[in-house]
Amino acid sequence: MTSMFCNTARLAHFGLGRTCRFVYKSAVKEPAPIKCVSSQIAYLESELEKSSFNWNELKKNILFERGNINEKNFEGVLLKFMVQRKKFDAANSFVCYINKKNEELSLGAINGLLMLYYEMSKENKLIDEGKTFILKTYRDLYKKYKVLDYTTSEKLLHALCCIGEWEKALKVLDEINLSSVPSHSAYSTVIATLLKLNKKKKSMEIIEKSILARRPLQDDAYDAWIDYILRKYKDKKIIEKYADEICLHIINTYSTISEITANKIKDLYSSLGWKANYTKITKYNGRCQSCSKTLDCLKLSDEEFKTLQSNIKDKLIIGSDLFLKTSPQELEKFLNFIEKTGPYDIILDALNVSYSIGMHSQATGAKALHIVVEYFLNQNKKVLILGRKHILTWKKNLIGDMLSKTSSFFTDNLSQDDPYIITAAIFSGSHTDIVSKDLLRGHIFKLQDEYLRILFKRWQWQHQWMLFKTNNKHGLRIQPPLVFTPCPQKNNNSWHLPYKGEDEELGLNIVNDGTPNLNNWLCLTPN
Amino acid sequence: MYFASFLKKTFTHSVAKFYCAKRMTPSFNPLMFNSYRRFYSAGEDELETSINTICKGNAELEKKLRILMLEVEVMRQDGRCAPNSMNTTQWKHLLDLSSRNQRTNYLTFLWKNEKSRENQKIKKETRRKQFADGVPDQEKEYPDDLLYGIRYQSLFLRIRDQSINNFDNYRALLAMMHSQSLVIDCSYEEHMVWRETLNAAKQMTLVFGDNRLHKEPFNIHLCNVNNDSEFLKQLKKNIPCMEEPWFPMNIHTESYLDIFPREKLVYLTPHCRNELTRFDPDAIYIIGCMVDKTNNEPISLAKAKKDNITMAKLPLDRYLEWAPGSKKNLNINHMIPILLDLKLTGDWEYALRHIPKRKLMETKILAMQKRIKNNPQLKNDVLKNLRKNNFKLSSVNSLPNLKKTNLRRSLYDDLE
Repeated sequence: MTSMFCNTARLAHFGLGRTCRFVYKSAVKEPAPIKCVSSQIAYLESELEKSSFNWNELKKNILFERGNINEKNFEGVLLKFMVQRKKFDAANSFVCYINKKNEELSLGAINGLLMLYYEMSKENKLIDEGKTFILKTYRDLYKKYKVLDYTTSEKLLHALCCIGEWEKALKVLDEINLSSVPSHSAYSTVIATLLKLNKKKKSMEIIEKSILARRPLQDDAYDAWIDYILRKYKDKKIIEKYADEICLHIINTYSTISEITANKIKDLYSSLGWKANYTKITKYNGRCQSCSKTLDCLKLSDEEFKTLQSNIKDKLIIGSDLFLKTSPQELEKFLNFIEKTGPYDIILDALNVSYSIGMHSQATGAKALHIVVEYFLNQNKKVLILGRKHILTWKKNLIGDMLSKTSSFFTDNLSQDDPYIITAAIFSGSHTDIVSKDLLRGHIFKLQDEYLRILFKRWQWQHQWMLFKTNNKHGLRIQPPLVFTPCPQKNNNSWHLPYKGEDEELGLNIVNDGTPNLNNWLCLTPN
Repeated sequence: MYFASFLKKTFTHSVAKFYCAKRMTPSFNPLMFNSYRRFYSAGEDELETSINTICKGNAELEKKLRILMLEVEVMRQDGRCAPNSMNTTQWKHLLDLSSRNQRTNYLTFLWKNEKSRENQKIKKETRRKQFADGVPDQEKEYPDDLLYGIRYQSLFLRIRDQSINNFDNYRALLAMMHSQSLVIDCSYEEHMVWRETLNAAKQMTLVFGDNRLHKEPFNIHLCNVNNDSEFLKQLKKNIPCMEEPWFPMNIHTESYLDIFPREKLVYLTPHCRNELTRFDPDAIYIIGCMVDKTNNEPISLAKAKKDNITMAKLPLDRYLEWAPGSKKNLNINHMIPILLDLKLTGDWEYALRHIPKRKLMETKILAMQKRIKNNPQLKNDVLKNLRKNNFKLSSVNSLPNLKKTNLRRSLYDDLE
């Protein structure tokens, strides 16, 4: 029996390479490995269940067991452990014990205490001791160490924010930049605190900084923003104006908000009398199912297109070394070719198209190519076929006909043809489309600049035709590019914002065809 | 008297700097962890000297270094992994790393090294105790008996490592005079991370060793070597006698184009299309000394194209079934034994036995078999899946285009 399985697995690899992978993926999940908990941690967990604590004895016993806790990091680790499990009483008792010792607090203990007070204030249990401690620590730490490291700074920042000391928190935020980029939570907490204290202008500045540092806002920041608006303004029209600011921010940063924030925004607009609904967008016409409006197609303006044109050749083909993808002679030949044979309407990625039905033989590949070329020629479009030299070695009767009706350019077998396809399309003009199943993610990465990436994605959504294998007459389905742009946007007074729903987290059955999730959108229409 | 006390003082002072040195004081017990405290508090001025040597007065650099030192101290007290002591080169490397994650990974690496050294010391100590308390395995019947054995009287002459080294070096030196040249191109430093450079140096030492062990070694030339590079520094650490005049390996800073005629050069790269059909004893093969775990670009291909040299790749697919997901870029310490055997015998199957088995399909099949044997539910799932994908067990014999039929095409088919 085992030898038969050996054969099937082996032959599965030969005949249907992918089958082997299916077998692996859907196989029964082996039981999850037991997490290796050191005996120290186990002992700690059992000890903390009690109500009264003898810290000296606890320390002696822990150091006796095997594990990573030693004399030096005992206080820090213990505090961290208790805070994570929200055992505030135990933590407070431990704090008394440490303070009785009259030694200078170690950095680990200071970090642990800051974390403790921050967590306590989140649950509204902050004691006065905590407040004095935080202020005292701020003074002492800066006196002793002129500059602080990342971890202590972050904890200090969160602690300062929870007691409302925003100037000090901003100073700490600047200092963090010396060693590392501040975290998402740092920026969002500072912004939330500023908004809670009604410092709108300052919070806008920090939001700008967070965009530059690629740290989008988190739930608590949006929450504080909405609360600020509701607190400050009472007139409906004015509230609308400021709520629109939030939506404008989401649009300008192309961000996808979380479900919690989406709920809050929905409630806000409902209270203003707007129609706020969760909706889906239909793919082929871009229509919102709730308000029946079509989403805009954010075409690239001339300037934006020119930026793309000037950067695309350098980043995609040349990159760091021209020889990695092609050679200088080939690049020159290509540029001369597209100048001479002029602008095209459609550019085909020959190899991608021919492999889309599955390349059992040259005949099937050529057939796929044939179907696609015929489809476009019937619409009187000018077609360019880009491939590699070995296509020219296919049988003449299969491809000769196609090559005579269209322009074609073939790169060396060693060169990569993808960058050439994209470059040809963009140089040719803003009306040119490409046909390829490729998601072009590698090329997006090569662009390196966030702004260029967004421009490229918008171009890709509007200009890429995709091919899918089906059971109909030809065996091929040709999908036109999207008629709308799936970005958060404003259409004539109504807002459409995407959010990250639960099904995205689970990743169920999603076929990736380059478009973002159209099932989780928020539609806000005025009455 | 004065001299003895002076000696003792300098010795204990220097010992405080080297945590791994054996201490004179008898009370040192590696099992007592508060020994670290002595090292930490004794190292205050040591940190200052490190700062001075690295920063040399640059205020901004000094600020950053102080932040990093504080960061490491906080990590130690926080429960995260950080070593108890670090020397100047390690601080310098930490400064050069660009992101916080990289620093955390580096510190974890140093911590693991430290812990493993501690554990080894403990093991050594227990073994030494066991040995000291243990019973000798041979008893003397009479007091003036002779004991026979490896540690006592033996007819076997001790052959030391140096003798074997000299023997192998002699063979390698003969090869330098008479044998075929092989070039290893070391110009890939800028494409490798620090860790990969160290790995490359390690592979290079293995290459040197494997080469001189073989019956017919190559005459190895290292080309495009950069004298300040981390690679050469690490190689010198591994092979201290590399600079000696009698050392049987050639190290050039110039390119191979300046040393060898261009027509004879063949660059072996996995990214090109034409396979090497036979081993040419007149050609000079070039192998790129690169560890490309992070960088997947065809850099050796680009280099060969730029220099306009013939390219070739090994005919791996013709003789072996490759496992899905394994790279076909081979390490230099696999390539050299393959080429050596190829030169000696001309038999591809024999030469390609040096490729590690984890890259081949056989291991994957054996692993899958083992898993299915131990887990009957898995077996059912596998069968169900195969059936779902219309894979009929009966059609086993009629699968088209089995690679096996082409496998036996050998060297002889390609002549003429």
